[in-house]
Amino acid sequence: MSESLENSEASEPKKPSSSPGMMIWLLPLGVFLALVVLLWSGLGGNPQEVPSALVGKSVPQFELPSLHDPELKHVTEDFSGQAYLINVWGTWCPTCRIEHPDLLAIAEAGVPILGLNYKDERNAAKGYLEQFGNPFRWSVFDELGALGFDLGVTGAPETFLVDSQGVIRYRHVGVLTLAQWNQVLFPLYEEAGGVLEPDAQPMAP
Amino acid sequence: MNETVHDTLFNSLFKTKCCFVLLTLMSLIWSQPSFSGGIAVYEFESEQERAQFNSIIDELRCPKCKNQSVADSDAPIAIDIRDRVYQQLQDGASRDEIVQYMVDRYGQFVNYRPPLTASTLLLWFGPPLLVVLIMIIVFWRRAHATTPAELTQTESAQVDALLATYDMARAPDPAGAANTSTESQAPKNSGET
Repeated sequence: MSESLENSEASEPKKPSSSPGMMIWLLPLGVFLALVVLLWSGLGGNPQEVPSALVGKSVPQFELPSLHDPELKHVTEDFSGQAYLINVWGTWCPTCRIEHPDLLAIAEAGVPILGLNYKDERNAAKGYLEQFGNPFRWSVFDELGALGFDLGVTGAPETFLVDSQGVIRYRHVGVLTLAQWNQVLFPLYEEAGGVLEPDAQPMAP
Repeated sequence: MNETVHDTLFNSLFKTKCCFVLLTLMSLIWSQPSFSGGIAVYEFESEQERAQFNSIIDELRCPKCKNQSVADSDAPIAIDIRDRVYQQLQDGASRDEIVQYMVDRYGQFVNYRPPLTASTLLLWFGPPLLVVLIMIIVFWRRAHATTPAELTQTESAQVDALLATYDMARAPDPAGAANTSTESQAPKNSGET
């Protein structure tokens, strides 16, 4: 008895606002759906991907010792005149190990890579390259992370593509796979004036 | 017996209070930016310089950890940035110069107080715009909600009649507090039929 009464009471106030009021009732649902779409689209993104401030700028000025010879100093200009990669790595970085075989393959194809040994120990780094192979045409030892800081590096591995004018064209954060190299970086590398060595072995996809 | 109950209750209250005070103190200590990381303790010539350092690292966003300021984060990169800020302050750089130095390397991303540009317009004016929009909707709804309040003469006569029957139904029952539901429903029923 009382239930039926309550029901009739509850439905009564809704009746007059059926047509224009319906829009208002639908508003929260609309807002909710809009939020779902917005948040859902955010899920797909890579949170580690931060727009780099360095793309389009010249490689910062630096003077760092060679990894293998502390007496030998390298400066920015030593590498200009060709397109090359800067790879930030360290023996303390497990994902650098994952990246290593692919770096070796890229280097084998004739792409010059400057290895930036970042916040590492010299002997450990040298041992690592001996053990796993050395993909770097040159290696600089950035013990305090000075060049890393000027490059806006937030960790390792990171890879920068530099064109023949010494301008940074692309920054890759995290492991660089051969697939990503072929799809994204290689076209940019060619655009930047980079060449592969004619007798280089073709890269596996 | 009664006293022991009181005693234990007091004890537990005391313990809770102690815990609360301890936690508050600990959180106060840990929220000091100079303590975070526990690696570098910076020394300043004046309190003003310290305050400036703290406010700068508080407004720089850690590029690695996203939702933390450089002051709050223990990520290696945040420690590096704190060191640089300190070093530059010692070299006499201004706040703007230091922020620009970081922006040059890490982009506007590190700036928790981004400048007003075309791309940050929504960021700056979005929230106040939203408030204004909501206020407009609220006022609009209010203005429209008042219009159907007017009753025709027959309707107001009906209301008067209903109220009269309600009062009549209510008056003879003095101890009505327990049966309010049946009371309020009864006259309504009679009014409808």
